[in-house]
Amino acid sequence: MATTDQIGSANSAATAAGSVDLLIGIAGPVNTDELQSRTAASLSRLVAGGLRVAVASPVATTAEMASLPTQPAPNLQFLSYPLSPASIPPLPWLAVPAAYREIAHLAESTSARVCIILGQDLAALDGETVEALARPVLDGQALLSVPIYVSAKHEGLLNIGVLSPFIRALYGRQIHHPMAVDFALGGAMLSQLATETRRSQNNAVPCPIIDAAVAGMSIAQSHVKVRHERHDSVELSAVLTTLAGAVFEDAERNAAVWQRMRGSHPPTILGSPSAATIDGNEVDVRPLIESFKLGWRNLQEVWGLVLPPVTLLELKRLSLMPVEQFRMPDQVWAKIIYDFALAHRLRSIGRTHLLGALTPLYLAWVASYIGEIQSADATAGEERLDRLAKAYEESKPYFVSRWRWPDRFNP
Amino acid sequence: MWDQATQSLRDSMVRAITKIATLLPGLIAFVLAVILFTGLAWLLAFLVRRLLTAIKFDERLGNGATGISEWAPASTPSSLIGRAVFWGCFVVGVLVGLTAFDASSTSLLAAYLIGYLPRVVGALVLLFAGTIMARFLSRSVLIGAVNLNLQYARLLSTGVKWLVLVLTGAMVLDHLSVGGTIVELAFGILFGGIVLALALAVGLGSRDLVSRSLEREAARAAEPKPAESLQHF
Repeated sequence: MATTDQIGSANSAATAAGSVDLLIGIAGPVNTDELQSRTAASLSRLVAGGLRVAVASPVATTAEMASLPTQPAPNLQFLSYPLSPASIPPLPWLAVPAAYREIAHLAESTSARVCIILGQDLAALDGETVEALARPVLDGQALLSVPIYVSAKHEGLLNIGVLSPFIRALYGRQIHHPMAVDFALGGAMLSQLATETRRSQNNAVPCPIIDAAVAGMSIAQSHVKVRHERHDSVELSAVLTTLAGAVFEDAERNAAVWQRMRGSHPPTILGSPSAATIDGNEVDVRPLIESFKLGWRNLQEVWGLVLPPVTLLELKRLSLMPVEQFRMPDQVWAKIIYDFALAHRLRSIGRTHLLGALTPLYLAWVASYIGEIQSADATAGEERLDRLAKAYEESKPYFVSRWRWPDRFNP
Repeated sequence: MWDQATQSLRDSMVRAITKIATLLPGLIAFVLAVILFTGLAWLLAFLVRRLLTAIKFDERLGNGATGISEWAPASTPSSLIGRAVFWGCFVVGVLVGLTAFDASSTSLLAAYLIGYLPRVVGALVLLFAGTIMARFLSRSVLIGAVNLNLQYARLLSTGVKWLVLVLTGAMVLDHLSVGGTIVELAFGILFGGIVLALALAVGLGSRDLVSRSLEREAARAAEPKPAESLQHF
């Protein structure tokens, strides 16, 4: 197995590259042939416009590094950075955390004006998306540019129910996809990423949105027509553990900052939304409700260590509801997430157990949410999300209070 | 007669006092060793904790510490190491004290009890570790089974818990040399009995249930899986 030391550092490749305007880093193992063909087809317009572009992808062996053409066209070059095969991402579609470190390093070495980091499935490697992400940073509108993906009503539910509203309430930024794997950054944000990735040498899932919000940097969102590959084989509890765990960990790290923040504001949004695809088949929520009821019958002992009695009472009420009327109030859901974030900090129980025990509750929320928006159109869905995010914001004083005085009586 | 009885009682008293006087230096040495090593343990644990905090050990360990924190969620890795250093030193202190006590003691019973004490300590450690393991595994199985939608999650979790506890109990008794081969034999019979009972239950009692379940699984595998329209991330 080749290691970082064996195949040299990204620095040597960058020294040969000189300075570039735009560095596109692929944050995970990728098929080199596919990358080359996609790059040639996608970036021709950008390159023809006079931008000096470099595309960096990871290599695991010296032979792989030698097989890459360094400069297939004027103004376009391929760079490589070392990535040990041992750096497996916690989830298949997530970026490899070690890759962020190497790409940030390359961006600093090549003095890139803008660095775009793309997911390893290359779904976002097309001229339009790259331009949409790079433009706000190149024009100085923002230091971090993130995408708003095309999504249907029943997609990105974890993002809708937990990640986006939680981050919005805590850090005051209304970001649609806070854990997006594709994003662009420049200037101080680039240095921030380099510092952050150097600081955390472990495999923690990075979240540049939170870093930018904490540092008070400008963020822009752009509508892109990108749909990433689906990975249905991964267990939901593993996804929840990784992503919610990462966000909860960041909440612990940035507690001094988010406790002072109040309200939220939308960042600059560029482009126009694409029409969401219509879900043809209706979703049967009964299995989701059954999963919750199974959890209610078996996990009360664990939930009792995390949730206050009033929430447990709400859950009991929910477990008795018929399928048609199964609705979880937004305030209850927001408080559940806050209580789990607090238990994560206090280590009331092992963190894997804690986030595993959240899964049936999350499924209950999904069932309630689907039940509400099943027959609604996309506009109603947006309004529903806004209502949920506002419930998170309204419950934030509860979270702050519990965070500061966790031992205080909480009925 | 009275004089003889008095003399006899006085002799017994002298013998007892002599015995106590013989044991006293050992006892004092034991107490002193324990106090000294407790102080040393406290100092060492304090220094180790300060050192680990200074080098940001917990942060450096990062995700690698997940395994440790899962077993002891309320403690950080550095506090666990500090505690291990403290208790390690304390146990060494007790052993040193026992050696001093043993040297000054001539009684066979005392020597036997002192020799038995390390076994008791070992058994207590085994019991503690076994109980923690049982609780951890039982909770892991319960949460995992609920997330897999297994209706008998609670049964599975309780089964795992008692299996580990029974195993721990057998190991503790074996370590204490209580019951001799009876414990091994009883454990073998109990464990084998549980497995046999389960096998019989599945093979005979629940034959129809199992066959129906297998048929259902086979039919489900043959059917094309409907496209899942929910996507969580």
